[in-house]
Amino acid sequence: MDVLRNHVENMFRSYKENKQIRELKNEILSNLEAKAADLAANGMEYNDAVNKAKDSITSIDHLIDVNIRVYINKYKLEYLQIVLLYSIIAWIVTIPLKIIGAGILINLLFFILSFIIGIFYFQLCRKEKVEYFSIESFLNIQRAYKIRKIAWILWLLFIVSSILLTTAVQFGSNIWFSRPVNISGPYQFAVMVLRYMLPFISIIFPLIINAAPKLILRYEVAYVDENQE
Amino acid sequence: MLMKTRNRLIICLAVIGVIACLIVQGYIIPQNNYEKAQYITQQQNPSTHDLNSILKYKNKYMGNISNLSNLFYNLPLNNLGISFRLFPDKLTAEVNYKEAVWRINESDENKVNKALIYNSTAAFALIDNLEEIDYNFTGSSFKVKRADVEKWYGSNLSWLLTKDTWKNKVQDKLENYDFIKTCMGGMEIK
Repeated sequence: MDVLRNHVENMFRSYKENKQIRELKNEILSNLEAKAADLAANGMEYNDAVNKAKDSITSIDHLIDVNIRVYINKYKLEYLQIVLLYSIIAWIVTIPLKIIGAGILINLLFFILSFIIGIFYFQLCRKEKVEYFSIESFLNIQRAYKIRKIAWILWLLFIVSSILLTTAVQFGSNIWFSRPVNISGPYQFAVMVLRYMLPFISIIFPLIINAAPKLILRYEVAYVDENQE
Repeated sequence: MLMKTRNRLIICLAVIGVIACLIVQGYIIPQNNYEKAQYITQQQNPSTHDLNSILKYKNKYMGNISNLSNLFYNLPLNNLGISFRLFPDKLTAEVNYKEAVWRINESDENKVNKALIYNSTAAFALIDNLEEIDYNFTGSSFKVKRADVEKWYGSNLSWLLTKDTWKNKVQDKLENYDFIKTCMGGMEIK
């Protein structure tokens, strides 16, 4: 029976253990055991009976409340489009930074990112097969919400630490020696402001993650079919 | 519908991005580099040197070697190898240029003279207790005292340190050959 237990554990490996999951696991395991025992009682070889019982259930995603059935490729297409849009915006915003010699690497990275995503998006757009966009899969909405929350928290921490770091680098000696801050002109002021503003461009990452739950709900099979009717 | 609108937006932004890149890379950055190069060249010429670039080195004491050396690194002739020695008991600074005067003067026979007058004026106007500067070049030396410079411009040199006064009283005068001759009289010692 360890084979069946391992099979059940394997199906649930991507889910965090909680009451609902534990109950579901026990229920499925006892069903599979009963099925294998029933088949063996009807004269089937024990190993064959176990394998047949295993084959009768290969995914439990549809049994979990938080899993939503979505048109996965439609979801991926729009998600890729959003990533491309944010990436191009970040690329454009960082172009003027090249004038003062800051953010050159970041600008180049966003350009490369936009280019690569653009190619993928273009290829995905060219797929016109109805079957391709009708493929369904399950996505965990609760996990998407959780990741979204974590992404915003991490971004806030990053912004706070980058502000503190920039202040320490820029004005550390002024604070330590109680010396007045000397900004000699508008150019120096603009450079200082840009040093503070540059990390804010990373907001595109939580924004991209932010889009996931909304898109899961938009491409939920039941919702799309209902709207088409 | 939303996706179609977003596609149009992506195309528009991509076009804007390419145009902005071309403007920045093809015009603004080369223009800035040209202006920077021009500014650096202007800093070698006493008549076009930027007073603002040295005002931050105003100091009461000549003993601050980092202040004094940074001042000379921002004055004409800063493209030559320079070393410094201070004699605080005599309130004297020694500035050593690793080049011969005749080689510096290849393009303009008064280049060293103009630079020495200008650099001395700047140093005495900015550093309050500096009394003498000894300039050493390969094969020749010059000595300038605060009293000499005060003879050229009047006492308390700090009145010169405004943009217009500096331009009219210090920089423009360096175009006057007789003024240069007067200033340099007795300056060379070897």
